[in-house]
Amino acid sequence: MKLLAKVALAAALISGVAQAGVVVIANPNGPDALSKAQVSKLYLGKSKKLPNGAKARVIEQATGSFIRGEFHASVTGKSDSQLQAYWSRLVFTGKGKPPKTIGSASLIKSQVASHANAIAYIDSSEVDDSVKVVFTP
Amino acid sequence: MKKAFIMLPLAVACASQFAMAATTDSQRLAQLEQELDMLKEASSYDSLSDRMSINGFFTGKVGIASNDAGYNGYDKDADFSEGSKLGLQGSFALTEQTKIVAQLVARGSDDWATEMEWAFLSHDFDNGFVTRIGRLRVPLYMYSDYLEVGFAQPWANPPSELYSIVPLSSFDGIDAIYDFDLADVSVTLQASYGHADRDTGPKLGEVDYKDILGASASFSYEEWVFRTTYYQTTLDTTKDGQITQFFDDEQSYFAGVGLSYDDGSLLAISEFAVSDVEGDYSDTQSGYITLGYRISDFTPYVTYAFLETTDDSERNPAYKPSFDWKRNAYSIGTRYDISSNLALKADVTYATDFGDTSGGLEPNLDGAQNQINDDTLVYTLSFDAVF
Repeated sequence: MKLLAKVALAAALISGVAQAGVVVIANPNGPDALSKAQVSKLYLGKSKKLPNGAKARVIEQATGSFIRGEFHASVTGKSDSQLQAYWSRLVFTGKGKPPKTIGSASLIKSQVASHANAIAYIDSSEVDDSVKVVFTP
Repeated sequence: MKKAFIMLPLAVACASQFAMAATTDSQRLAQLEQELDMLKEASSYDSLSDRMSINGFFTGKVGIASNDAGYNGYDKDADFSEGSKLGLQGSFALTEQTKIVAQLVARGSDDWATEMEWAFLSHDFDNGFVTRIGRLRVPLYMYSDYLEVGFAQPWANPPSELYSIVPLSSFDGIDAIYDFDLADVSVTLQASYGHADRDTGPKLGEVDYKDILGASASFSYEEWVFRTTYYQTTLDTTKDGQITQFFDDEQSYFAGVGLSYDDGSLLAISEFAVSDVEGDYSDTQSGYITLGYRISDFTPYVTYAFLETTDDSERNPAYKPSFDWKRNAYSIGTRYDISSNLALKADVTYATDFGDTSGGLEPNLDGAQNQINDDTLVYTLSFDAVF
């Protein structure tokens, strides 16, 4: 029995390591799945609403963090400085402002778990049942 | 002595307790800190800091030219103030849909005098429609909206062959913006109405831009953006410059198209515009094409731009030296992203092919109204930051 548990744990760890990567999460009552285009539009402020019409509460990771680089490389295709230039175009025309930045995965999860319209991305190893994965880049 | 005796067992007791409970306490502490952060986070969501935001931008620029032709305002002496500027923008949300935005800009070329560049109240109808009232930007060009924000541009200077033909960047009035998706194409339509009063300099004095009316449409699809715009206004001299009553309710038109492509590596931008003013003022056609390529933090670019007047044959000969223009400009430069909010740009521009005109450069005419230089070479270095 003990051996079986160990094997299961090891398998889980290995698969966890193999799959570790960024995933987009939402509230359990939020959308079931989002496309790459939808996620990209939300993170670039091109759309402000979720598929159900509710105003999205988009959460960013800290500027310069590894996971932020990884997420944007695969979803919006923009580097940190390109994002900064992009947002400065919207900010200085009064047309929009960048998503709120939260620096820790556990805080992000608690925000997503407590707000039905929240969208965020975290490392897949941080996912638990308080949130649901809606897109894997 | 007595105190030490009392303190010692206490200290020992504390230490041992600490040692035993170290892990659980630090875990508990971490948990408490996290909960505190969550509370702060939750309370800040609808607080003042969430409704109000202050942003700024800065450009520190130095330029020097091979002669005194005055391209982009530069001559043989290095100039640190022309083109340098500091901007502060405040945005305050009155409600979820209504906000006030104001932008103050201090320009080195105006001795750092502060000017209100934007100040408007905007209302978002939450169905794609936004309307704004107050002091707004004239959206003539692709980069008009962030003309002041060097950080948002690939160049050290926007190509002046196009960007300087209308000496008006903002007006007082109202506009309406409608954003919607047409299949995979994001469309933005914008229409504006208003007026502006401007001191255009010693030659033409103060000019009233009456009944500014126009619209623009922008279509973005994947990496492409296509934009087209049309504006008209009536020009009227309100205070004479060197020329008396140069504009007397003169109709003028501006029409432009732009196309850009940006896939994250390759960058291509091109714009073309025509302007037409009744009477002796220059009618122009101008355009440019910029090609750039991002290599990690560097974005080297090349630009070709041209400007020419199209009504030379109709102009009163007395005004020909001032308002016949012809110029080609070739630029090579690079943007270097030092950090995510600071960029350095270096640019060399060679302007030539003036024909027998001033090249559209006012300082390039001598006392007898003849051309002084038939070309100019301008070096620019620019630090651009946003914060």
